[in-house]
Amino acid sequence: MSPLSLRSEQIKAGDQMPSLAVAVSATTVVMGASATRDWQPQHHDHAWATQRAGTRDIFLNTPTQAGWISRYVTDWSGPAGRLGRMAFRMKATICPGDVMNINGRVKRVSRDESNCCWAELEIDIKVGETLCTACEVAVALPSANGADNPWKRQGEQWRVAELATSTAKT
Amino acid sequence: MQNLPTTLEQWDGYEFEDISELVVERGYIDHWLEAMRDANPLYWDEDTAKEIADGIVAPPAMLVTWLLSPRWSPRRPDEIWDVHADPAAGGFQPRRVPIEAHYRLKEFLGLKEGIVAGNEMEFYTPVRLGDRLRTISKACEIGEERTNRLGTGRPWTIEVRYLNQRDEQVGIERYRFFSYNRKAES
Repeated sequence: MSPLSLRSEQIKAGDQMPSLAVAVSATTVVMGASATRDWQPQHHDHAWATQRAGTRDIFLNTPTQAGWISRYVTDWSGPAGRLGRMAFRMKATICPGDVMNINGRVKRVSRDESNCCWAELEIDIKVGETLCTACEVAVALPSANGADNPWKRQGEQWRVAELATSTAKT
Repeated sequence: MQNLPTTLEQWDGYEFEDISELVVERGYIDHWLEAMRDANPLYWDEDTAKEIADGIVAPPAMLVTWLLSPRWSPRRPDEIWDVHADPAAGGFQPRRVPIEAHYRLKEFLGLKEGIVAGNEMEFYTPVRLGDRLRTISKACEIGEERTNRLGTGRPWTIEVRYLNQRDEQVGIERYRFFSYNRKAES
């Protein structure tokens, strides 16, 4: 097992994740649109975005933001961390010239019925003081002895469907 | 063309099925990694990926990327989907995978605008090189008509199930929409 990954015993509720600041350019926005195959014009056409959509510029689409948050989470967890669930609320657009600051904290650490360790994370993307996107993520982490690798789980051992219910209770 | 539902009750749970024209492959994964500057070795380093996950996996959040309708395909060379070619003026209007159910329901109700208030994704069997994904999507949780600051319309959820060629569920997406007509301009 790769020594690079975070183990479930190394984290607890309240832990802060390292910040990530990304200077967003038109290239960042358009490359994200291309990588997600999203050619809606508000993600690449400045004139359309400002004149037809009424936004201040072209802006990062949701799948691209999901990509940046996925990267942010696995930068923290290491490759053995396996994403189970992401839930987004979009509040404000992120445009060229903005610096997006991604921050996260561990909300809860739990084990499900199959003894899989889940870290529930609260992640936000802000530009200055403005909250642009709020995201809840559940990521499964390996255990210290290396006996449990989330990527080997399947079927009844991978209980993602229960995560939304479990999060709603807290 | 499917025979579409004719009542709101029939729309609730009515399913659309589509299959991707793309096979999951490294070139598009690499483009994604470039765009997000993601160095996670599971997506590109065969040795580490094999040790941890039995081989390369696609980034989970790429799900929708594999299914979005192409703007042009050699399989249908006459169908050019360019947003600047207005369908009202004879431009081509494609099937808008994976949320065709949303657009069709919006049209059924005569609602012109739609916004996503939130969305969520669940990830199941990993997506691997060579997979060809398909979707089963539907509108559900169609709410009562209401008026808010945007206008008058209805909320609903579009649920998209993603399956691989072995019919294993690889993911679910849920989009929470509010679709509406703007208040009359004064």
